[in-house]
Formats: sequence, C-alpha cells, structure tokens
Amino acid sequence: MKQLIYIICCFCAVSNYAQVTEVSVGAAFDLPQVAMLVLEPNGATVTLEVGPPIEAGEKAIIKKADKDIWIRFSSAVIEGNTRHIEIGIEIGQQLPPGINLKLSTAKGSGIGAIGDPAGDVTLSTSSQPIITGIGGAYTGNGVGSGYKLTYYLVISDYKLLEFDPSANLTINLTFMD
Amino acid sequence: MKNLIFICFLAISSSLFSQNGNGFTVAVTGSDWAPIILEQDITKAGDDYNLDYNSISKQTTITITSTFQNKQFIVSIYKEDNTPSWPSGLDLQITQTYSSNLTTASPPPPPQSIPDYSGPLLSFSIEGSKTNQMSFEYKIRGISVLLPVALYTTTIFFTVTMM
Repeated sequence: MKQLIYIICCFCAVSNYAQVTEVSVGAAFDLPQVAMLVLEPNGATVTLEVGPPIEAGEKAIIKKADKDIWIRFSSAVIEGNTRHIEIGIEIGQQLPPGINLKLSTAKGSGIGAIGDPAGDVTLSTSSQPIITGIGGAYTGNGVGSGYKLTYYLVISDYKLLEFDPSANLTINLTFMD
Repeated sequence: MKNLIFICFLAISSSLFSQNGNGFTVAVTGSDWAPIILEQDITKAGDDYNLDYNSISKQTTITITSTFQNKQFIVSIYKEDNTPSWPSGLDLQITQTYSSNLTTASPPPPPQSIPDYSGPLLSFSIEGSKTNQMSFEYKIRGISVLLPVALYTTTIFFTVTMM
C-alpha cells in the first residue's frame, strides 16, 4: 500500500511540475488575382510599308516593320485557371484594300506558366488569341523578356491594290480570363 | 502518519502547480495578423512581388503570470496550416522583439521560420519576475504570382512550459 502511495505521489508531483499552457493567434494571407500587361516600347507606333518594285514585272516590295514590340505581363490566377491575350484592330478601322496585316508571336520567356504563342495570325476587328494558357507567371522586364511581337504586311490581292493608300490603325491587346 | 504526509504533499503539489490553479497563467494580446496584399504591390507589369510583409513589432504579446519568482518558462512555437495547404515557398517567420527580463536593449534576433508541429519547435525562454512578457513580430516571405490565388490561413500556437 505504501509503495502504491509513493508511486502516485511521485507521478502527481512530476506531472504537476511539467505545466504546459497553450495559446494561439491566427494569420491570414489573401493573395489577389493579378493581371498586368505592358507593351515595350509602350504606346509605340509601328510603321509598315509596301513599296514599288525595283523593276517592272517584279512584285511590290514589302518593307519590314520599323520596330518590334515586346509584351510583358504578370499574372496570378486561381489554381486550375488560365488566361489568354487577345489582339484586334479597333472596330471601325480597316486596312487599305488588298493588304493583310499579320502578327507573328515568337516563343516567349519568363517564369511560371507563361503560356504558348499562337504563331502567326491575320489581324481583323474580331479579337483573337495570340498567347494562351497563361497561369501564375511573370515575364520579367529585362532585355529579351516576354514575347516579341512582329507585325508584317502581306498582299492578299494585287488587283485590289491602290496607289498611295495609307491607314492608321489602333491595335488593342487585352488580357482575358 | 507517513501516508498522511504523502497525501498532504500530493494535495499541496496539486493546488500549487495545477494549470487551472495558481501555478501560472498565460494571456495573449494582439490581433490576428492579416497583411493586405495588393496587385499594386507589383510595381511594373512583368515583375513579381518584391516585398516581404512585416507585422508591427509587437503584433503578439504573451504575458505569463506566475505565482513564483525565478521560474523559467519555455515558449515553444509552431503553426498549423489550414486548407488550402500552404505552398512550400510561403514562409512565415517570427522574431522576438521584446522580453521583459532583458535589462539592456539589444537588437532583435533575425527572424526564424515558424515550423509545423511535426518539425523541431522554435523555443524562447524567459525567467525572472512573477509577470513575464514576450512580444513577437511576424514576416511573410515568398509571396509570388506563381502561387495559386487563395486565402492562406494558419494558426500559430505558443506552448508555455514552466520548468
């Protein structure tokens, strides 16, 4: 009986001396959706030109665009979701007859799910995707970061070409969920 | 007679050191920490967040009130994440910014990551008077657009042990 009491006393003493109390606080981090897009150079005007042939009988000379445009973005999405970037000529504007405006989107660079380029597209007033499958990603802002966009002209129908036509077009790019 | 002495010892021991009795009490003050993270924190499209978010220096204060002088207390810290589970890159850190038993001012120690319960716990000790206080500041690192958009929550536990 004495031994039992000894054991109980020792157990209680030890357990009581090792006192533990626990308190808690909470922390919360609400990560927002991010959809930021910029063109470099921002607001630039790209000039494209169709020139006369050097010799009679040859086709018209299409000059390269005077500059490339870089598209850069930061994107954060809900898990499983993706975004895309659409491009279109502003509604109500049109190219000179017989000419198509095309855009080539090169393979991009960046960190995360930066998406895939659609390759070459013919621009119209109907928006169409040029980069799809963008998830959580950022392209960076250094030289060569993001996607390089190259505009170029294609003569679609020679018989529709007119003398000295010109058009100023506004091209809209949109980051779409 | 011996039995009686032991029974008395047992009763006294229980009354003095019981968690629910007068051994010591622990109180926590300070609100939950929920820093505001905005898209505008990204300075330019193409960039990632380039910030660590810090709480105020005394975001959480633990007050330990003891019946006894010169007792040492160990405060162990861990966290339990709620769903959605935290991405591995998200790192919640803590630094002790105040301790009532420090007599001289000293720079706060560098922040340390708050471990999950399964890992080795982060511990601070304090001893001295009947009322002991510790304050803590938090830092969250690894906020990135690469992480899925979600509300990540966790509970930080402070386990106080009287030695």
